[in-house]
Amino acid sequence: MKISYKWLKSYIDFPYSPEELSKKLTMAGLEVEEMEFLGENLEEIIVGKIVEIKDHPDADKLVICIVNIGEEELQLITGAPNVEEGIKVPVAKSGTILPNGLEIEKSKLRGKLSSGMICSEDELGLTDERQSGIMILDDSFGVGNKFVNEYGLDDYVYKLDLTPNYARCLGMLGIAREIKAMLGGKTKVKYPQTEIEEVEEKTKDLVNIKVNDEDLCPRYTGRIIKDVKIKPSPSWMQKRLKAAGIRPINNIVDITNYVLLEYNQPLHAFDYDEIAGDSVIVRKAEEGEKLTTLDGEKRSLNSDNLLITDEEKILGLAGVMGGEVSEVTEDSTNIFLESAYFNPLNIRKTASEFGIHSEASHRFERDTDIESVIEASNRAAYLIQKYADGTVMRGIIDKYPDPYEKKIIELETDRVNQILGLSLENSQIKNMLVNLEFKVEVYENSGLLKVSVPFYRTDVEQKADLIEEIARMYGYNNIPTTTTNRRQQGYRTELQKTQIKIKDVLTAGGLNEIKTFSLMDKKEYNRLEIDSDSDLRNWVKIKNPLNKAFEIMRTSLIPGAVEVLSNNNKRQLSEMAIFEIGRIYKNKGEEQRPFEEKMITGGSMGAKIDSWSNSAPDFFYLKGVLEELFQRLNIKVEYQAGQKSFLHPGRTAFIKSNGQQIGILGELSYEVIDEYDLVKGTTIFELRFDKLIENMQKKENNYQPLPKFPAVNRDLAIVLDRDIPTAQIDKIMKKAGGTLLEDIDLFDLYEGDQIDSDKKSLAFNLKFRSNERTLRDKEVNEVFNEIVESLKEKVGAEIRGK
Amino acid sequence: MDILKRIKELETEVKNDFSSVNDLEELEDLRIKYLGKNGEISKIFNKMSEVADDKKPVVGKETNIIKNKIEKYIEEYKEELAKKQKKQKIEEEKIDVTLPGVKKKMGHHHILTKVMREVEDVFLGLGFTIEEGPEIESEYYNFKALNIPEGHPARDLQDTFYVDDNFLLRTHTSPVQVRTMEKNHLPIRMIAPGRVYRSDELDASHSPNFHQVEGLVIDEDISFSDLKGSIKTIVKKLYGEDREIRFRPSYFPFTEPSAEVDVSCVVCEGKGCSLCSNTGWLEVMGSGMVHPNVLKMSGIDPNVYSGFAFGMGWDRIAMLKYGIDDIRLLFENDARFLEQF
Repeated sequence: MKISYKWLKSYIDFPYSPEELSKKLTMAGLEVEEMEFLGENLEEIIVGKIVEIKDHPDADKLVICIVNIGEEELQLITGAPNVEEGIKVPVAKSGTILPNGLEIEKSKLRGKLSSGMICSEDELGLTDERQSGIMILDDSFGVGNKFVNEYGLDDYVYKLDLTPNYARCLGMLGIAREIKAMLGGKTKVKYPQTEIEEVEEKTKDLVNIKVNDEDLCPRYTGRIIKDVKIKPSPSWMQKRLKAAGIRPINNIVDITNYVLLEYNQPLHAFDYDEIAGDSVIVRKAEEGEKLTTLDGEKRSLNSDNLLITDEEKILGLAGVMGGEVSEVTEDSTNIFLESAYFNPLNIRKTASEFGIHSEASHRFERDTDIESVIEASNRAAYLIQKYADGTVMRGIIDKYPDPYEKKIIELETDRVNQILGLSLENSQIKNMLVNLEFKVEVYENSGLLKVSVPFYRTDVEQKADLIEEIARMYGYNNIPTTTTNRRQQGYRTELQKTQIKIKDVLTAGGLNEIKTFSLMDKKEYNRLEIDSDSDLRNWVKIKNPLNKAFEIMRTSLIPGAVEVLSNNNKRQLSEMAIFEIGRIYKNKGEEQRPFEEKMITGGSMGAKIDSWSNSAPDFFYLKGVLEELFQRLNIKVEYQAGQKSFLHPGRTAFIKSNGQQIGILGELSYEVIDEYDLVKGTTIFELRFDKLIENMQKKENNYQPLPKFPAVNRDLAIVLDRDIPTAQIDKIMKKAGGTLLEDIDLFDLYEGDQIDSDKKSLAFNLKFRSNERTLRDKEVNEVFNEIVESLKEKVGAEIRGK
Repeated sequence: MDILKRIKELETEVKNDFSSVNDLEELEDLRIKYLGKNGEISKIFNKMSEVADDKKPVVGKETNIIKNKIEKYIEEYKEELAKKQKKQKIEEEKIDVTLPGVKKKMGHHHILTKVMREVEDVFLGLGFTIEEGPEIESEYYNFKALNIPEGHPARDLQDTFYVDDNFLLRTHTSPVQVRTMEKNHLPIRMIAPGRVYRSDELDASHSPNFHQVEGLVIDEDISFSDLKGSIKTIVKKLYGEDREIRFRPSYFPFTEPSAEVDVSCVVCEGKGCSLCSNTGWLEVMGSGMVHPNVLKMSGIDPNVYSGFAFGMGWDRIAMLKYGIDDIRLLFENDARFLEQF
């Protein structure tokens, strides 16, 4: 809603400057989004009168004008064809900067001095079309006065961002009433003129109105105005409409729009001569009926749409948009003027179905004042009589079978004070509400108020709504601030603490936390070569996506992580480690609540330290971080070689705990590395958050005493088949080593020329210790030999060196 | 040759030799020269047989004296030379302390995590707990239970992504309010941070997914003045003690009265700049007294209990605090951005 300062002032006399008004409106809940001075950049333009025109001695197409601008006369040269002695024109003196940025300078045109310029409309920015001649001003304009003042551009326009509960302020009178309340109710609202001179001929003899659906159209009024002269509306009206963002069309259309802006009551004028059978019928559409609306669109209707029809055809989509056939055109002479109240929900439904957002539907769907339809009709009839020379027929047909009653709300003063934290008296509350035009009765000697709600306050339904009005009138910022006595302790749950711990361990391990979109493009799943029958393709699809890029909900955080690594690599940031904790979503079938699960995903690219000299630095870097994480969370895990379509077949591990898979770790496949332009070796992991939590073992609070006896260290190097996993060797050694074997540390892995190609060499440091005594060499040797024998027997290991 | 004379000579030789010794190696050479198996002292002792018996005690004594002297010299010089050598070593070991340290790279928390920990700490201190709820919500929790029935114009204010006729992507964290109230563990003081969705094209100030943090307090006798007090505390903790705060009437279907909370602009201090669209104020929070309809629908008696709710843009808090002018940066995950926080 856009309103102008001067226009508003014509309804109520308020003492606020344009800036003050902006603040007052905002603080009353009518948020001013923008404030604009209409005469911006035109303040230097002066009204001048051409007193004499002389030929230019050296140029046929130029004339010399002597222009009176009040205190002086200027000599101005112009080539405009429409100059005449005696006309008034806008003058830019030298030094003025026009809206288009042109600075007017004193200049000589073919030897004759011109000390300024006579302007055209386009030069003043008043029209976008190029004008051939200068602008000719109304003769009533005062010579020497500022153009903006005379032309009505000395005005401010406010763009209001109105929330749905301020629907009443979608009309100037609604805003005027708000200002009246702000001013303490003393200043009266000046209501517009509505006195009509009706002729003998009666509306009801000319037209018959039938409302078939009273639920969707609780009130419908109509009247006939004959012999209208279609022409442009008066310029003051056009200016106000333009300021409000509505394009002037002709006097009839402009008047209906003007009244809409005054009363927040949409009106519609039909060409009476186009109404067949002199009948206006309000009915629901039949499935598949067609209507071409005023915007030229042909629309296929359904049985929820409410229509205005005659006996033969559809005249318009009720409350949303009129039809082309019954449009008021230059040839119209007699009109049928509709002023009605429609069911807000139905209008909203129809408007959104057809994607129409008209000034009318915007208002009807926010609910209008059912009691103001007649007054608005009268106002329009008055204006049509005055500005379109219309003859108003006697009477108005009013189909209002079930008149609305005023809402009565009982309000306890105590309740008001309790909710607001104030200690108001009955009378204070009454005054505030009365200023807002509520009627208030105070029950004798009690704190109970009986409040009657004006019809236009469609937003007020219950006590809470009145309490808000009282808070607003009291001033939100005048209400004291207090602190509550709380009875609770704030805390984080164990789960929340664990999540923090996970993030802290992962960042300490060198991983940067990322946040990626939950919505994504499903083509990423093809790029990642996810199998067509994979559970990862069990997407939750968005019914109304913005575009393909945000079409589905992610089923894994991996695509996002891969993309982040890829994007960074493209920016030459090719050494990077990341993680994300976020949700994934899976479709559970029609009508079922989709499944949501928290995942932890990470990735590493370009790591440098190749501990095992097997060109998998990223894999073992991430594995090291994960091992630290599992240790901190007290989770026992196993890694098993596995396969995943987007991962390197020989470099993928399933992570299991208590026999259950809780995650994967693997290097991206060659295909994915190429597709995403990544660094070879880039590795990712994904863990299921809930599964981690499930497998966390409770840690005893007791501490482990420090060892009292020294440890004995022995190195062991073995050669064995390349395919035997180290985890298996670990198990064999642990079993054979028994309780004396405290720790196993693999410090070297060798595959290469020194040994057979299907073999590998592993070197371990074994630490032995007893909690009861210092171990003797003999004891250690026995256990060590047992380990060696066991390895020989179970995996055919050969012992290297000694 | 007279042995005693030789001893006298030796005394001078020793003095000269030791006075010119430079390092421990030379010292060792001298030790061998004098005290070694075939050293000068041994030589004298070996010649003892040639000495007349009456002279033997004198020669023996003199030899021992010089031997002791040599030993003493060695000890003294050893200590001195060791000191000297250590000093020299230290000198040589001097390093350029301005060389860079060995990189031990730690990761960074995402700015949203960092900001939320700060926010959570403020609320934990005020007695709040932290709640979560599903992101794919039913129509009921996202709209209906929040006093936004079907056909309500407020649904236009939030462009919603739908999954099907029953489910949608939550447009705000407010459904968590309803879920918490339904549990009926009163009183309630909770916040609910989380991801929310609106069908807005991605640009510098909009994103189809973004984050909010919601708050709810329900107890007996909670008033609008309590709302003001709590919010003032929170806003000052988040944006600075010297910020001005104002409350402005607004509209949310689930609160009544409703208030928009503005703080004086963090950039221009209220003078007016592009960040605050020249108003001097920044909108940081929506708030209000929980609507009686909402309490009723969640099974709480509005005649006994009242409460307030508030909601903030989590991304917006981060952006305002760090002067970030493009929301896309939060989701682009450029390493150079991530490593600033």
